[in-house]
Amino acid sequence: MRVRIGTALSSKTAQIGQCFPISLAEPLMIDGRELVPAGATGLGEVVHAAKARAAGKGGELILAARFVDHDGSRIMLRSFEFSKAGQNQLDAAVMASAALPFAGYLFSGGNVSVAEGATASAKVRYAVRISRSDSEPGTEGSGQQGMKRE
Amino acid sequence: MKKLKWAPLAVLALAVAVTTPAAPTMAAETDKPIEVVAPPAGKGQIVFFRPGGMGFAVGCQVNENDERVSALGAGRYFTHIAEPGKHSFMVSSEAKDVLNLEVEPDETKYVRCKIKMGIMVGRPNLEPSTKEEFDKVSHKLEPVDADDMGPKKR
Repeated sequence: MRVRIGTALSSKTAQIGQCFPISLAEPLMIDGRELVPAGATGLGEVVHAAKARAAGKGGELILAARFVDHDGSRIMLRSFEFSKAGQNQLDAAVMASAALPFAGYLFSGGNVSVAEGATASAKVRYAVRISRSDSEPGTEGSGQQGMKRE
Repeated sequence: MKKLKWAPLAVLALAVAVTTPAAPTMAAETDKPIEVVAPPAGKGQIVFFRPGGMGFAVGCQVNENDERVSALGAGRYFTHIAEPGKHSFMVSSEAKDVLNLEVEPDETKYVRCKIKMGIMVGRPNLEPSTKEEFDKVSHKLEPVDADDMGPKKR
């Protein structure tokens, strides 16, 4: 499934453990049926963040999608494919210092920036049971469909 | 006679011309990325790799919970099988660098070690990477020696 990041994030300012809004970028379909509509909201978490530093070290940012909520069900997520290191200039910094001592400290790596609305893939962590939108209210057991891991 | 004097050179040039086309084929075969096998069922794994480059003489010893996972030399790689969940890996010399990761069951993460400039000595740096980045350089990498894996032998 595709998950949209609901706020801009940067390795320069993000804190480990910081939560951020996410939503489904496209509906979750199984067998041609829409089980969870696009736009279902949830939360993500910053797993790792490190600023770009002097001497050419690039910033680092690893994000996780935790869950999206739909119709009273919490769908836990895993395997969010967002893990990036900023452009580093480590080799350039070392070469500059070889020419002029400590000149390498003038080189700074790039931070990782995530624009609001950026998307990445994720998977469903556990099987959950969710109501189908076409189910009749009050029919216990019917109108439910198991959702399996992607 | 004058023409014959150049004959050996002409034969050599011809030999080079004939053998040269084989070289890219050889390179194409050796440029094949290393195939990383899936982790054991229910476990995750992390491939740590260190392409060559600056600071080849500086060690990149990867630790978790103050215990060595492996010593990663320049141009080496290793695969670390891990329980799913949060992990924190650390490398240090003058200063330490920590990388926090979440390992998922049956999946592989990639981490690259680069050496950055320090005041007296280079400083190893761990950064998140991808299969695509590993595949680009893996044909130049060698596995870490067995005695460099696991906790340090006393």
